[in-house]
Amino acid sequence: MHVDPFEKGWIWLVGIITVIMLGVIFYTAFMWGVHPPSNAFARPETIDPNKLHLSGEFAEDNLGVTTNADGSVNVTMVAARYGFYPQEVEVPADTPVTIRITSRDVIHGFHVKDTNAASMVIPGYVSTVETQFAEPGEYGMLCNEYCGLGHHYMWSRFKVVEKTQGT
Amino acid sequence: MAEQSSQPQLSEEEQQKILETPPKGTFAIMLIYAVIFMAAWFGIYFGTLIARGPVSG
Repeated sequence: MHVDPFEKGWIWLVGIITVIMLGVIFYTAFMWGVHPPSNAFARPETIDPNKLHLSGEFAEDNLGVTTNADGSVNVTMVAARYGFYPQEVEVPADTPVTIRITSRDVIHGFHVKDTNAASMVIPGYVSTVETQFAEPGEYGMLCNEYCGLGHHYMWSRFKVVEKTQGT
Repeated sequence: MAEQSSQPQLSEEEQQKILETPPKGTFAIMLIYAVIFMAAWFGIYFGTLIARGPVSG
């Protein structure tokens, strides 16, 4: 099959660029741990979305921020049309934060704006994201998966405060 | 009346030489594209994504 020499040149160039980019992505994924949360595939944690409010980790009284003995913080949230509950979350900066979130109804997503904290939120599964927030400030927590007519109203506040003031 | 061409008249030899030389302009465009693309990609990957901190789950 004849391939024009210019076409060949562009194919080689794009191929080399792709290999370099994939190499960087794989290196940072395996060596630096930079990858999307993988718990949904590796060890899926299931839950009954119809009984969240009744008891257990995602009952209404158990939602919010809790501090562990080692100083790390757990954030337990529920996503439902059209809001995140609790609607305001406050965590300390430079502290390991584990966000555990599930959905009551349809597929949502959450993204803490200007950070890498983001995940799909799927009914029947618990999404877990572990991260740290370096910069104090008020961030928007947005739903980034179309969930219905009110999707664009679905957001809440995620506050990062100085470590000494953290809950 | 025949019009005189404004193009310089090239001999067969000169035409063949032009056809056989490598297309330096094309290669320059490819290199510029590659440099701009890679710079933008590395800039966003390390300047934005990595800079925002690790996330795992």
